[in-house]
Amino acid sequence: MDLFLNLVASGLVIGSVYGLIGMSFAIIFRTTGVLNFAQGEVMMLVAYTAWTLTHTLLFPFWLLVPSTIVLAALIGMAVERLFIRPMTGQPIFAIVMVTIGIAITLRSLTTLVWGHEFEGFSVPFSGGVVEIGPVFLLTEQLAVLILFAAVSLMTWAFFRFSRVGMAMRATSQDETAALLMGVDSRRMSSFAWAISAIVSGLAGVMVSVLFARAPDMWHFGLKSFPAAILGGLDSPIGAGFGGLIIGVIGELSAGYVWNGLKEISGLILIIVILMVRPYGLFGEKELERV
Amino acid sequence: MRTGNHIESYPRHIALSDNPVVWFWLVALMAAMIVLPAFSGLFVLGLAIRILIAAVGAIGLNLLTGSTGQISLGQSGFLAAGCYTTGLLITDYNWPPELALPMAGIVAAALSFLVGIPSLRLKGLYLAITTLAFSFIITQFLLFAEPITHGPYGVRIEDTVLFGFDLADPTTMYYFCLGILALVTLGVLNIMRTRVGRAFNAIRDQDIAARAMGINLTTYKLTAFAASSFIVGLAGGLMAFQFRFINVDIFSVTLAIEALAMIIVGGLGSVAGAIIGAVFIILLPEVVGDAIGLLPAGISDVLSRGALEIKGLLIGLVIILTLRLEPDGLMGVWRNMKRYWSRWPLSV
Amino acid sequence: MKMLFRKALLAAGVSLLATGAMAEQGVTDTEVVFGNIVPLTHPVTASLAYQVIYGNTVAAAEWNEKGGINGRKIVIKDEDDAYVPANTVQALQKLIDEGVFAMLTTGAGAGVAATLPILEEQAIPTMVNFSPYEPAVNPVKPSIFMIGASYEDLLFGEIKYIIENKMDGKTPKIGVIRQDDDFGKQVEAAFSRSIKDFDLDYADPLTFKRGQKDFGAEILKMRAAGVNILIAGGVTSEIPAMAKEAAKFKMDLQIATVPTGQLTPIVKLMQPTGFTYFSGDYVSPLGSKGAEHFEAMAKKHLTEEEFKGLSRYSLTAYAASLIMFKAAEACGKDLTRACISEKLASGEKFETNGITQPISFSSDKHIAATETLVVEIDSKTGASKAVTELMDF
Repeated sequence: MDLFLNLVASGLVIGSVYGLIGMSFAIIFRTTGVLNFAQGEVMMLVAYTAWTLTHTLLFPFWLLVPSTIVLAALIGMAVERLFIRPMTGQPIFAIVMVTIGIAITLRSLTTLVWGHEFEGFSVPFSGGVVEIGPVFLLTEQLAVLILFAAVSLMTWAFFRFSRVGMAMRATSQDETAALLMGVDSRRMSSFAWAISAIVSGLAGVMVSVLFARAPDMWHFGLKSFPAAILGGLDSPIGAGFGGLIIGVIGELSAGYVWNGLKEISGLILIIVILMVRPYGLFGEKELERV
Repeated sequence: MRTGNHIESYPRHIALSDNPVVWFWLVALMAAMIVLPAFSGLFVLGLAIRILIAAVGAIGLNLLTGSTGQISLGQSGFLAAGCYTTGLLITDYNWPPELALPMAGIVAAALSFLVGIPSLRLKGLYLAITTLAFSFIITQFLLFAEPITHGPYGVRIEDTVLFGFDLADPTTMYYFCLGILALVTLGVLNIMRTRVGRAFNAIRDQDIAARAMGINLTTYKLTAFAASSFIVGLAGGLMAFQFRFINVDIFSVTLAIEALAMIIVGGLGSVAGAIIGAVFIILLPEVVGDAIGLLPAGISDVLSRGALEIKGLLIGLVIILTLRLEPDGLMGVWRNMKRYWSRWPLSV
Repeated sequence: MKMLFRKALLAAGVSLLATGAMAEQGVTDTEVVFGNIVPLTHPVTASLAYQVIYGNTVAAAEWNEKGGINGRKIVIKDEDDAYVPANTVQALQKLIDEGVFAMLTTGAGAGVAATLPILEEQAIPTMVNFSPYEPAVNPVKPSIFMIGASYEDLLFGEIKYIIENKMDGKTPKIGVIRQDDDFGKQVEAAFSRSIKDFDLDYADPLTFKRGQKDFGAEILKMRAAGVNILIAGGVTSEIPAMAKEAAKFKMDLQIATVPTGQLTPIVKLMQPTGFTYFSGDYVSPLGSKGAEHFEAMAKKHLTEEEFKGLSRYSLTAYAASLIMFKAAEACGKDLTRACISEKLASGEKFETNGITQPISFSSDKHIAATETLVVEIDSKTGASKAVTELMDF
């Protein structure tokens, strides 16, 4: 029981990271229909920037959080404005390919500026241990869980209640109708990129705190695909929970069945789930007219 | 007066090319390819072999993704399957390489039925990620099924003699790959002008409409998967002879993405596009590297410390710009140029 | 026409032309070219690759200052393989095309394996050192040599030390978490050997995928099995990631790591865990007496930033380059590949300026410097010290 609970806890921690990144995939996909292959790289860039703020410019933590959020939003908007906006009206496939180009560019840019070494990222709340019954959590692991809960709640509320959120949903459902109602779809795309950069950027900071700020961080982007697919690419909340499921299944299968399953159990799961629900667990079925 | 290129009959419509000029240049290109080894060193030849094999793989992927519209990120899995099939059959089971190479295609095609089944229900990016998942599972299998695959140790291929020609020799290997590429190109061009090829295109354009016209989606989607994977597997088999030492590190996700980049930058759905894309994506890093070296000494010294990063940066930017300027890829650029010149002065 | 014919022959991989009247490839009257293939663009290994280059650079600069190899200036060409064996082969072909005389490094891991056929066919003198790979020298290949103990020997030495000195009466129980590649296999070999030699109680070995970051499940399984000696078989940030999880559960653990465990970024990340852990090596650690000469030279020939980036990989690369240059010098004016291989295998002792014991190969043993020492690292202070002498396992 002890082992089981700890495995679940550990799965929830890593699952929260997958979930946050999965959510940021879904935010862009839902609004613009583009799968952003550069999500992991955006995450890395934000994390590296935040690292410089903390370790070089010595920002105190209370200042770090808002400034990271602002910087992430700026990075997201800049990428959208520079590379994605000019592609408006082009086939989705070409735009997806552009995001792959962005990924390569950002990856090289990051190592060009910050070098190859990995570094620790320390925040005031890291290093402690919290015991909840038989479950042991590092304080930063607990912080990831809290961050996940907070971001999920805010994302849900944003899309459900805010004007902008509703406009974004409208754009994704019917761009023409939304335009006629006075929604600027280009601005929505810009917002989507900004919000998704914030969400994945926060995840990136947590990855650096949990493990290290390292030049191969972008792998987390690829690893989070299954989360987004499982939950449904067009459902941010679904993608978030997809991450939790993938994380827990990964740890449990590694703990009880076979260690080699850790990295692929999530993949097997999505193949099985998609056979039953081709649009993910929480995704909406797309109606096609001929 | 010439007013344009009018096609007036079905045989002409499905002809490979009705233009003698095209044939002339094709023959010239072939001739140039044949004399290339006489003028190049090991490195250029190695690069040429890489391009030829990549072109075979890209044509395979293009048949599935470009012509049938089924986006696959899993072809690196089939490449690995083909490569390992050839390598293991030769090394562990003493098969003659003449048989081991076609088996690469056959095993990959057989595996593709497994992956093709989800395609009957999944679409677009969902299918892309599912195929990606399959390719991860294949490499994980190769890594862990040590009794069969040598696991992390990789496979060394000693016997590389096909029909009396030793493929360990780069020149022989080059001609062999060139031959295979020519065969695959002709094969795919021919598939595309039959009923099967037209069915593929119909499925890409609108699969529900295609079904309404009497095209059996199950059969044709699976055929597309099998045909594509056969070709990709064959490319994998060639890689076994190219490296003579194989392990799973060769088949990373980056490879699948690079393959996709080839067909998109080249121009989706076109065989020539796949070949041009392969040339472009493989030469790009080399050209960018050389270009940095050519800069004036002062600048190139400053850049040399981060030369590799700058190379990566430029590669990314070139991909972005190519798509920005011409979303139909390099084939689109070519078509526009052709139209401009052939219709001049009426062209715009 | 004659030119064309020659090129065709060269392209066909016929290196016969190079022997006889013509000078050896990569050697002119004024220069001799050495090649170096390292994974510069792989995120995990890039910094190690630069450290290797620094080591080679120092050796070449030191030698050139003294007038080069019999008056020939040493030139080193670095190529990147991004840790992909296919690229290693391509980089080697490029170097051969440009004219390379001998190789100082030929990639890491499977890259070494992939280049072996070409190196052997073309009889290029090669000094494997960045990543030990036993098949490179067993069976013996005339032109290929290796310095450095295998990971198996290094880790075995650490475990022996731990069992003899650190158990305080507890019954040792050993576990291993290793990478799922050929490197990991060597790590597991150390595990199997110590179980057999010391008759140890053990937990089932676990593997992880290269690039994995989180080790929750793995450490939990080790904890459930009651492991108190752990071989942390990761290359870089995996080691502190495992230690961090273990520290969370306040496990009483002795940790054995491969030589990368001594690298500064890893020591820094280990700091919050508070563990004192072990690493092994076959070169004198930086800062020790044996490395004094090297450090003085490095200070002279490297920029300040480069100097700060030095690590044990610079030392091994430096030692490997020295041996190669010395063998080349012993050949005199008439420098050929065959001569270098012959000199290396002659049994002569090559000094490495204190970094290792004097190194000698023989015609049936192309591996040297296999004695290892154990390094103890206190993560709280970041201090590391060698706790044993160099010994053979």
